[in-house]
Amino acid sequence: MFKTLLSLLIVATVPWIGGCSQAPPEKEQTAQTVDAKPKSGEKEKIAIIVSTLNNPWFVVLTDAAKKRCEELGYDATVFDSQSDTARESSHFEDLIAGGYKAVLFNCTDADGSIASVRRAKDAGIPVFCIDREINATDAATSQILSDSYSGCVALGEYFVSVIGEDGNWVELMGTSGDNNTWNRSKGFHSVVDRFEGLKMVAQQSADFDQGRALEVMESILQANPKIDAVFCANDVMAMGAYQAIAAANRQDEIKVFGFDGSDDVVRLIKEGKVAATCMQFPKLMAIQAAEFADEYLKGKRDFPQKIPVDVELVTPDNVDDYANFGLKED
Amino acid sequence: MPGPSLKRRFVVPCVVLLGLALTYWFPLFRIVPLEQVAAANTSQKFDAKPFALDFWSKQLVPSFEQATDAAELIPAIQNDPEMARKTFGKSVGIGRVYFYFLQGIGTVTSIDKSGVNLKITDNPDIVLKTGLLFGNTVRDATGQLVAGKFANSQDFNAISKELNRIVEEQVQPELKKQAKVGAKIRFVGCAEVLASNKKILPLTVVPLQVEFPQ
Repeated sequence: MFKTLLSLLIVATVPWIGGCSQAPPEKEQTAQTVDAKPKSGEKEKIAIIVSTLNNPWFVVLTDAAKKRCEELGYDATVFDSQSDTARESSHFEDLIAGGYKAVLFNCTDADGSIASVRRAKDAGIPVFCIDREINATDAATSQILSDSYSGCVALGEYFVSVIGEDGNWVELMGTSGDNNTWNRSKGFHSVVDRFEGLKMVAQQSADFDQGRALEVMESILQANPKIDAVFCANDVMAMGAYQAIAAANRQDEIKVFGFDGSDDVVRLIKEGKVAATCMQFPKLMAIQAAEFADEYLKGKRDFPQKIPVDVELVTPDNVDDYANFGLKED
Repeated sequence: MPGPSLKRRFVVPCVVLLGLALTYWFPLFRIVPLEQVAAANTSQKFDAKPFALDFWSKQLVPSFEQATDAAELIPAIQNDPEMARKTFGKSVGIGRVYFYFLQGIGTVTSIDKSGVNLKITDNPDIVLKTGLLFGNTVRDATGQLVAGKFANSQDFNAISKELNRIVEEQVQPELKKQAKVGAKIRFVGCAEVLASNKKILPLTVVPLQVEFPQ
């Protein structure tokens, strides 16, 4: 009996102990040699660390960064953090040991990722943040960030013009550790909350994930017989929400608003199934970060700490101006 | 029949109690309301309201005299919007949004839901906004505040909300009360323009100061 209880206790506390000290994950893409200087004829190496590749938007961001780095004459390696700060930290250890000269960085957590950036800085490796901010002004060399707040102010104003000043709405939020989640939510609320007749009947996180958004929206639909609109903090969640709404045959009643400007949602706006989104410009940000890294490696040191990148409202009126995660002419 | 051993009577309950205590003080997960996370995500040290009031009185108001003359800006926009942007506009980042910081005297041609319409040249060129204010126009139009000085962009964005509140409480009420068709208004204000917008005029201007010369 005693042994059984002791075993149960050990089994119960193992996850607790594991949660306290998450071991670095296995190294996946980083079989780099510990050689700080490139051999004669070898290209200098730039690391691209991305929060997750489980979202087409980040794939576009990463591909654009890699392509531009290669055009500028560098070897570029992509590290997928899979939304895991411990994995991300491990990538930094690898790239510091592996002789990388610069990092283009899309972080997993605004606070939790600062230490990794500082480690790279201490090792003399410049870090250029793309899209996602770290909450420090003395760690990264520069941060190129979507102006999510302004975008969601514009989206909120359009939302009121479409829905009117009365109605019930739902918010699906992103991951809590990302500032974009809060800037989008606060920008949207700064407008919509000024209209007393617009009532938020549910607010839940779906972690920027389509499957999670589908599940969350299904339960919200069951609990709320009257919903006029749903605001989703990114487009993959807008896709998940739309799937749930269409499955419940309530697509004529509920208008969906997204954020990102993904090809899928731009297409759904054209088809009249999604009301609006905000176009971020992932390729533009990625290219700028790669060019900053190149300039740094050629001797430039004076970079603005944070550069906001404009976000543009995409509606049925101007949807034809946008394609392929940017302006049509790009 | 023998009773339970000492081990069973004392050690087992102790182990169970220890397990319960561990999970109480160090739970495997916690459920936290989103509002609490939102509060925790904003810098605890930063209070946007006093910052905005200080910025308004010590930086923004003293800079009013540096605003572009509307009598110069409006004809420049009519003549060549792109050149006007390059000459008088200000951008804070990468993209197609830019700002004008302007001052001038105009005559009220009409008043409607969007605001007070003013004539600077021969046509209604400017709308002084009287409705709800949103966004970063007031914060960004002069270029005096930059994102890179703020560790957390949520703090930077909170300033906008407070600056808009100052305009709504200190400037717009006077404008709505005093503006009459045919009256002259001396103003300082700021405007946000999206470069792809083909119809820039009349320019929607957030009023920062209004006076009614006799």
